[in-house]
Amino acid sequence: MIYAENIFLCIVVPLAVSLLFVRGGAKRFVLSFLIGMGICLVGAYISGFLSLAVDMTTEEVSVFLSPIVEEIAKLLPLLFYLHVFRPEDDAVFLCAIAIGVGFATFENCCYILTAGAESLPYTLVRGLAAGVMHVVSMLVLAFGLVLIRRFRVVSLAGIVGALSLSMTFHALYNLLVSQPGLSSVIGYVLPLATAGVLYLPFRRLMIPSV
Amino acid sequence: MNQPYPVIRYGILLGAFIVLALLSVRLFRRLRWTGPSPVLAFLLFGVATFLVSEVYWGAYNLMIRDSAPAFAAMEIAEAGGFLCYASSLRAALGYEIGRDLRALAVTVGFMACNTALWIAWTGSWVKDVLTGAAMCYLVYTCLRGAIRHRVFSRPVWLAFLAGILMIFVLQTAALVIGGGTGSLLDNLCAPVWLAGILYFLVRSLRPREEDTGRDSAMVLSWMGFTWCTLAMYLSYEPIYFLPCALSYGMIVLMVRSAEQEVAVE
Repeated sequence: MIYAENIFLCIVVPLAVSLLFVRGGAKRFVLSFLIGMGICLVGAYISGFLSLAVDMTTEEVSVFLSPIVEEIAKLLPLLFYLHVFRPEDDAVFLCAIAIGVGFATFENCCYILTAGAESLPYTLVRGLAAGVMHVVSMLVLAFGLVLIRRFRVVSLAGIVGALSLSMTFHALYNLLVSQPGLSSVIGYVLPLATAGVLYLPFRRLMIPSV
Repeated sequence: MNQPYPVIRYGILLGAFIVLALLSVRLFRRLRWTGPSPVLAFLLFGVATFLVSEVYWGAYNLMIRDSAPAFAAMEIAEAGGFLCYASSLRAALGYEIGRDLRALAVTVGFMACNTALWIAWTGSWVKDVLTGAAMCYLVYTCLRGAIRHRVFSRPVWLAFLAGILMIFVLQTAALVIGGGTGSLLDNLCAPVWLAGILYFLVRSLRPREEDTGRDSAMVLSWMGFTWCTLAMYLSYEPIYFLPCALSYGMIVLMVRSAEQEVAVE
C-alpha cells in the first residue's frame, strides 16, 4: 500500500511555491500540471468507489469505467478555462497538455512506488505508453474543443463529441494492454503512434487558416 | 467462446471502419475548404465518434468476445454520435424548429417504449437509458424536420404508425411468451423494419422533385439512419446484420445530403 495523498503533497508543495515566482505561459503550465495531478488523485478515489459500488474487479474498472471517470474529470477544468477566460488556441493546448502531463506524472509516481523501479522495460513502458497516452488523450480533447470553437458549434453535443473521442481512445489503450501478447504490444505503441499522427494536424491547426 | 457468423460480423466491422474513416477525412477536408459550417462540423464529430466506437468494439470482439461489456466508453461515444447527428440536422434546419409539445410527447412515448424493450432484453439499465435519451433528441429533431417540411403524406404517416404499433405489440408478446413462439413473433417484426429501411433508401437515393434542393433530403436520410439503428437494437442475429450494415450506408447518404445542403447555402 502507498500513501498517495502524501506523495501528492510532497510533489505539489514546491510546484505551488514556484507559482509565486513565474509568469505567463509558465505559470499556466505549472498550475495546469498541479490540476492534472489533483485530478489523478480524485479519479483514483472515484474509480475505487465505483469498483465497490458496481461490484467489478479492479481490472474491469480500469478497462471499462476509469477512462470515463478520468476523461470527464480532465475535461472539466479545461471547459472552465475555455468558457471563463476565453483563451487563444495555443493556451488551450498548453493547459490541456500540462493537465495530461501532471496526471501521467502522478500516476507513474504511484505505480513505480508500488511496483518498484528496478525493471527498466517496465519503467519505459510506463513512461512511453501510459504516460504518453494521457498527454495524447488530452491533446485529442483539446483538438476537439478548439475545432468546435473554430467551427462555431460550441454546444453540449459538440463537447460530448470531443469528450467521446478522448474517452474512447483512453479506453482502447486500457483494453489493449489489459491482456498480454500482440494486443498489449499494439497498445503500448498506440499512444506514440497517435502522437506522431497528430503532430502534423497540430502544426497546421496552430496556423490560423481554418 | 466462438461467435456465430464471424465472416459477416468482421466483414461489417471492417467495412464500417473503412467507410467511417474515409467520411471523417472527407468531412475534415471539406470543412477546411468551406470554412465554419455547423452542419458539417457536427456531422464530422458524429462520424468520428462512431469511428472510434467501431475500433473499440472491434478490439473488444477480437480480445474478449464472451459477452458485451456492461458499460464502456463506446456507449458514451455512440450516444455522443447521436447528439452530434441531431445537432447537425438541427443546424441545417436553421435552429428554428422550436418546440412542439405534441411531437415531443410522441417522441418521448416512442423512445420510452423502445428503451423499456431494450432493458427487458439486455438488462443493462445505464447503457440503455443513456442511449435512449440521446436517441430521443435525434428522433425529436427528425420528427420536427419531417413535419416542418411535409416529408410524408398522411397515408405514409399512418403506415408508419401502424408498423411501429405492430412492432411494439409483437416484441412485447415475444418477451412475455418466450421460447420458440417468442422467437417467431420477434422474427415477424423483421419485414416491418425492412419495409421502412427500403422506403427510406429509395426516397433518399431517388429523391422526388419536391425533395431536391431542400432540407427534406437531409431529413429523409437522417430518418433512415434512425430507423436502421432502432431496427438494429431490436433485432437478433442474423437479421441484426442487415440494418447494421445499412445504417453505415445511411451515414454515407447523410454526408451526401449534408454536403448538398451546404453547397446550396
